[in-house]
Amino acid sequence: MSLLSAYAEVIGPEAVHTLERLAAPLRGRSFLHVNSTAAGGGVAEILTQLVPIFRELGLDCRWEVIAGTPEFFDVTKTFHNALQGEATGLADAQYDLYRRVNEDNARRLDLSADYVFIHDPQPAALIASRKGGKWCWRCHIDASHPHPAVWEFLRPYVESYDAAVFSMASYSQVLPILQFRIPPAIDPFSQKNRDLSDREIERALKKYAVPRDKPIILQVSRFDRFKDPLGVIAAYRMVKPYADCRLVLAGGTAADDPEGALVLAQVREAAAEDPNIHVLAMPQDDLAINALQRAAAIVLQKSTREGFGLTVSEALWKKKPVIAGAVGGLPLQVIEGATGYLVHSPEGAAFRIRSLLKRPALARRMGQRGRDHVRLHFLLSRQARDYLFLLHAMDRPEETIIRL
Amino acid sequence: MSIPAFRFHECVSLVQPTGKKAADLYELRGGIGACPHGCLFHHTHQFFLKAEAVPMPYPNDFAVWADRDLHVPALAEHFALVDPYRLPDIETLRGVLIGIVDAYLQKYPAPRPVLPGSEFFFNDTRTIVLDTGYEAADLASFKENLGRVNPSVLYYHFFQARTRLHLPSDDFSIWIEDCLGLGEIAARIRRLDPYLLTLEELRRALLAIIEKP
Repeated sequence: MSLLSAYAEVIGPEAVHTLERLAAPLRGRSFLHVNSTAAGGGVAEILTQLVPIFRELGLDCRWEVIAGTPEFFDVTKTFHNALQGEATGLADAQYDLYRRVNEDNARRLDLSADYVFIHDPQPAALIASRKGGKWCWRCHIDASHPHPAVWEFLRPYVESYDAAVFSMASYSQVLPILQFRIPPAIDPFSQKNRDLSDREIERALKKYAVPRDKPIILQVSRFDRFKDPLGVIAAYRMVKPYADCRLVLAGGTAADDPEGALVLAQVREAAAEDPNIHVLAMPQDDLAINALQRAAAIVLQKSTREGFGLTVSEALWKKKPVIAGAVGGLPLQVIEGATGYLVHSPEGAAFRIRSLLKRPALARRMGQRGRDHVRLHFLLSRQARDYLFLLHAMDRPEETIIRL
Repeated sequence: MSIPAFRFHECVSLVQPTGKKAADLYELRGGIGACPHGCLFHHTHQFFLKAEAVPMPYPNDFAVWADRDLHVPALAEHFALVDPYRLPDIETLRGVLIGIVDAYLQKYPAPRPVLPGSEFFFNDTRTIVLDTGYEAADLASFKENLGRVNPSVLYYHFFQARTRLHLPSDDFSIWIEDCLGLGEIAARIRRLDPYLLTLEELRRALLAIIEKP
């Protein structure tokens, strides 16, 4: 089955026809994406699925990955943090390295295309080697309060693009070029989100020794203090005298993240002695995350600081009510009282967990609404539609209403 | 003489952040006063284009923000009653919105600023209008196509038409009256209050009128 046929079964044939209508005038046009990694990370995950969709729609879509030394990626990691406001500076030699690696990549890669999307800061300076076409800088991070020195260096590059795209309005800033908001999205057919059989769910839970004998409260996230795993344990302990349940904290750990290791140790200590708390510091295991989300009664994302937080859309897609911190992109996904609850404290989380455990019918209704909400707003098909729109908008920048 | 066919058009929009935001009621007033026409259009008229799985409590972004983030339901109620389609132009709309803020500030103390991240973000918008290829030559084919098109078709022919035509009317009822000669059905469609309906509710209401004229 083609990807578009598969999407038609999920979003309806008319929504797929809209994609085809938007793509029809662009058939045969070349569309290039450039990012910094072929695998791992959200951007690579999205491009893996989006590129085949654009090809099916008749565009000549390619994806290139820049190459760089570890020193280069150290510099771009600093860019990444500085764009998000961290007070960190770079030496002139590091700016030179950034420029040089981008120039080397511009010579190595075929950057000729009608439309070029450059993802994130790492390859942003490729714009200096533009030979033609419309170029868009697709920024996936919060660039609203960048570190001034780093932004002063990057700004001339950004302002050379035809358009910039941010995931949320709050990520953007005043720019002299076209600027659009395109939220991220999930792939309903990926290992992390596809339908699973009961057997697959059972097998995955068995692998991580999580029994299904009582309702499971789940949080999937890195062991990071901004995800507030200790607050989640505190909330669970407040619920426990009223409702028997299990708590699963599942997430990866990065070998190069000393703070993550510290948080994990604190979480393990807080969970000690309680056989109903499962701390799963697991390697990348999308199938297991999928199974845990499907087995859960309630999913938490009790962050105190957050980017977009797409794990919430993943849980909503599986018809789970979500209790989330009212930060970052979470309020766009959790509609208060409809697809879940927004909370501001462990006490708030505990109150809502108790409430939903006592009202399974309400939890089911919220889960269904959550799935419908994601179907409309947070599937990759919507992101594909927005990107197609953007190509037309770059072609006709003066028109606020475009008739095709 | 053959009847001109009704061609169904849909529209898609893409949000354009301006980078401007308001953290309190004074900044909101300033932003409403200074923002381009497209911003006000987006936050009021185009609110109805948002296909939502969950009905929103208020019918424009100003009312939603006043209630959800600023926590001043009295202000939200006043914003909620602004029907942009009944106003002659965007400048009148701007004056009405500013008047509501001023009236609130005269009567009540100013609410405290919202937390970072909960500001009102002023967005503009662009729209693409697409011919769906579906057309109707009589009431039966009109009904059949109305039942299957994307919800944005309803927005284009019902809401956007009011701005385009500068009339409190819509493309559907005009075609049904002028081309099919069915004045009573057209009149009943015009009596609908689309301001309080989601696009799917509007679709159901239209189909009900056509099925039981």
